[in-house]
Amino acid sequence: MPALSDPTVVESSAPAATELEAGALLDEAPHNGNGQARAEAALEAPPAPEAPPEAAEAPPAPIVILRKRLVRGRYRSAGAGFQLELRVDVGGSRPMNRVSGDFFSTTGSTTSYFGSFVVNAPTITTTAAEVKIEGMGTFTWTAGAPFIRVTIPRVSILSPAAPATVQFVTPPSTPGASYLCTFASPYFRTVELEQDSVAGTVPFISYDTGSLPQPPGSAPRALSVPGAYAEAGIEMQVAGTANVVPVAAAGANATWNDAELHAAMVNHFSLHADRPQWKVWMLVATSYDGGGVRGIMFDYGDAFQRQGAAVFYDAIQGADDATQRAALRTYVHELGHAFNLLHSWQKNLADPPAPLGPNGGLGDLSWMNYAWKYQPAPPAPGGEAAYWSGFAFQFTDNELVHLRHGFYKNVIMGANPFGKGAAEIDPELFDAPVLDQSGLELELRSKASLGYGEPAVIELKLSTTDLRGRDVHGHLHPNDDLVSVAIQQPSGRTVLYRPMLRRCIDEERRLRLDADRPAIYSSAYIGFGRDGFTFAQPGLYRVRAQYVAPDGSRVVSGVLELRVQAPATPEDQRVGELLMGEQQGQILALLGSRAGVFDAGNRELDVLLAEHGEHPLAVYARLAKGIDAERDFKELTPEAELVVHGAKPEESVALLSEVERESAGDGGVDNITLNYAMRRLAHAQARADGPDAGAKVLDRMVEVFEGKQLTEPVLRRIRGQAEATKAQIAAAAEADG
Amino acid sequence: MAQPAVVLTLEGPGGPSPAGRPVPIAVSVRNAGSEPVWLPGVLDGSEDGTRYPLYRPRVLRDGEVVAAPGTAEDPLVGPVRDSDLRRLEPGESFDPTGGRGLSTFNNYVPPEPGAYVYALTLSTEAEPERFLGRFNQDRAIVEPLKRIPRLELTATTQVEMGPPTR
Repeated sequence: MPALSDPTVVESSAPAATELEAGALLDEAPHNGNGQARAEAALEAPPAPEAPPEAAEAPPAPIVILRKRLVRGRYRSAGAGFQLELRVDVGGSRPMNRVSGDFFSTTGSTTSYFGSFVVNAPTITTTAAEVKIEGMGTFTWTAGAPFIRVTIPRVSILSPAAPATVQFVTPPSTPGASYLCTFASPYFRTVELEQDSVAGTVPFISYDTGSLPQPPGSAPRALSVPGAYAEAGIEMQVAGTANVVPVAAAGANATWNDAELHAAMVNHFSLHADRPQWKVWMLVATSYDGGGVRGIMFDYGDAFQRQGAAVFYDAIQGADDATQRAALRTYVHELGHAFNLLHSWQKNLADPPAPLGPNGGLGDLSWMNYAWKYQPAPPAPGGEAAYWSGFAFQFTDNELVHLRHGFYKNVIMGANPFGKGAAEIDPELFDAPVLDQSGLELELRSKASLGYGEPAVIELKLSTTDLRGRDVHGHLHPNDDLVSVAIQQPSGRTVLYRPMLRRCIDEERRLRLDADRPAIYSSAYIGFGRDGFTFAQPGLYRVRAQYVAPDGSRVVSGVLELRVQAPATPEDQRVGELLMGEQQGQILALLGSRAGVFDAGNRELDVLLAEHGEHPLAVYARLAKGIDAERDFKELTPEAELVVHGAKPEESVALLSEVERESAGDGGVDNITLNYAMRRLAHAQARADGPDAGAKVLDRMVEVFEGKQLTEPVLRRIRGQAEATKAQIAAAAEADG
Repeated sequence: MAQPAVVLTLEGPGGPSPAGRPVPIAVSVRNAGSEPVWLPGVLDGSEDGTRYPLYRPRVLRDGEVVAAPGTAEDPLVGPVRDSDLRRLEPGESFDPTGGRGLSTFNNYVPPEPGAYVYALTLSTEAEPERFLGRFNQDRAIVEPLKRIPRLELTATTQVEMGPPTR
């Protein structure tokens, strides 16, 4: 997978793109300054003209000084492999004197986020010819070349913006990867804003900041919501279709709760998707359930948070200047939460904690403070009047750093949860591609809830979204190297499922998905792997899988939510414990084993069947033991002796017939597992009672699945499997004579 | 089980204060009973009423409310943590504001001389769920929250404001 490489270092086959002066990068020589004042002065003032020649005889020609173009803004590299989106924040309005960037990788037809970096305290050197920004970066991964030098030629304001060259360096001076990034925008980030309103409400337009007294230095201007963000360096493009949402969407009480707001977002946000994207929805609603608030960023409870906010018109309406001013504040404030900004006094509650502003954050003159809570350090006055007399309609510096340079997943809507930092796993794994042209779709299904100790089995379905069809490989099981499964546990920790056994893929198994065969399926037990039990605790789990297509495309599934119930009875508790022993987990993962090392585990499963045979989860013990009994089992003992444990077809028939009975309806095991179990049952029945008896099981299998209202292509495949198995049985009988 | 004896107290300056300046008001909660009591202090959202425990301040002049918390911009309050719960031994007291005071009292400037009544209502009359934050909330706190006694208390103190000083 591309995440295994490092975009800061040069691939061994590729030459370094830029020559470096040996020893020039991390020497101890004094640099040319690093402060905000210096950077501003250097970039906004024209460079000093050169002195005229001493011996000039003719009167000097008039010197025309053209202002230089600002270098700040967003840049982007092109080409295959990794692409870099670079943000240069020196010069211009409220420079934060930083550079930051996000890496994206393209494999096949998909482009995925890789990781981010920021240089928080760069050395900035400005000459008449160029701006050079360099320093040690902070990365979301362990970068091989963590020192960064950005060089941008200075050009006149009449010339097109010059590209930025980004050179990564392994200290002290080994050149790493280099990227040429063309200028993309004077804004650091661009977000699409779709605003809908509830019938009867009037959306805010703009407020003239000169209408009421404001602090010196804050120029009077007509400020809209996009305008407020533009001043922060964030472009907010009004997009999508502005809908009028019927008030009935708020339910019978006509006020809104979080669930109703979320449902309205899903139904009316035309740009909505369950993936990270620079898109946000604002609803001008009527009022909140229980009242008492002016707005809310309501999307803080699911897997793709911070995509929607609302303001409550009943609380913020009014045409007078003070009300309009406060309304602007509420809009900008709630959208600030969508960027993962917390209230001024809450920054220390973020994960990881961030520093608070003056007086525990209450002294922040920010969109994210409350006017009435504003309280600078004594004896300065606080409260609403003091806030408005000092508030220049802006974010604090720390907030600007977050908006402009926060790591991608901490800022973009739909990525990290509200208030949360980075996940514990590879940053690329749990992300949907930002661009997917693979023509494939991966879906996960399972029971919505599992009993305590119940083996977690997921069904994987790979289908084509391309009517012309797509070639795929058939390796859809997580035991193959081409499918990965990430599991977010109730604690919020995200782990990668690591199967006990990895299958080495040495066969082609190419398939074409098209109208005749629109999908392929697999079933996987992911409850136990190399790291033990994955679903051991009751609570809500979120599961996502990734399939790597033959052309390298990463096809990522939606998030499957799976709840593990707490044991409701002492018997539930006991059965769960019998299933969740280490050996039982391995036996279930292997679908049975008679190896001596698993004797204890098999005894526990026997206890389960003997003492709790009527419990719904006993079906899993029957499944593992029934499939195991159907086949000969070869064991290589510690003494290097090969022992063959013969098949027990009668025992297998008894166990798997029960599995069939329990699973023919809605209970028991999933369909794919049942399909497999019935084919094994057919083999066992044939060995016990002859080929005709085995064929009858297969006929029954077709009937069972016809009763489950599956799609015709799936039923066609099952009928084919039944016939193929009959042929195998017949061939085996013939071979046995 | 007997209702725990908890006393909420407000204390203003001993003598008249000059109008035109905020008045320092000390808040204290004391366990006047014989058993330990668990209580949280002022949490994010307690003052504006968006989460429990409620610590709702107000200032009155001639019976009219002249200062009260503003409307919350939104209900996105931070998490409640173990360290926010205080075990008060019998006779023990604590400042639930952690020395920071309440924004309403800290920011209100009595404009003219006269008598002002500062009042504070503490309420824990809610299920533990209503004490929880909206983000980064560890739900393991629900069990400790069940130890909080249900109570509603109001304390007042009258402050005499004198002429403003120069």
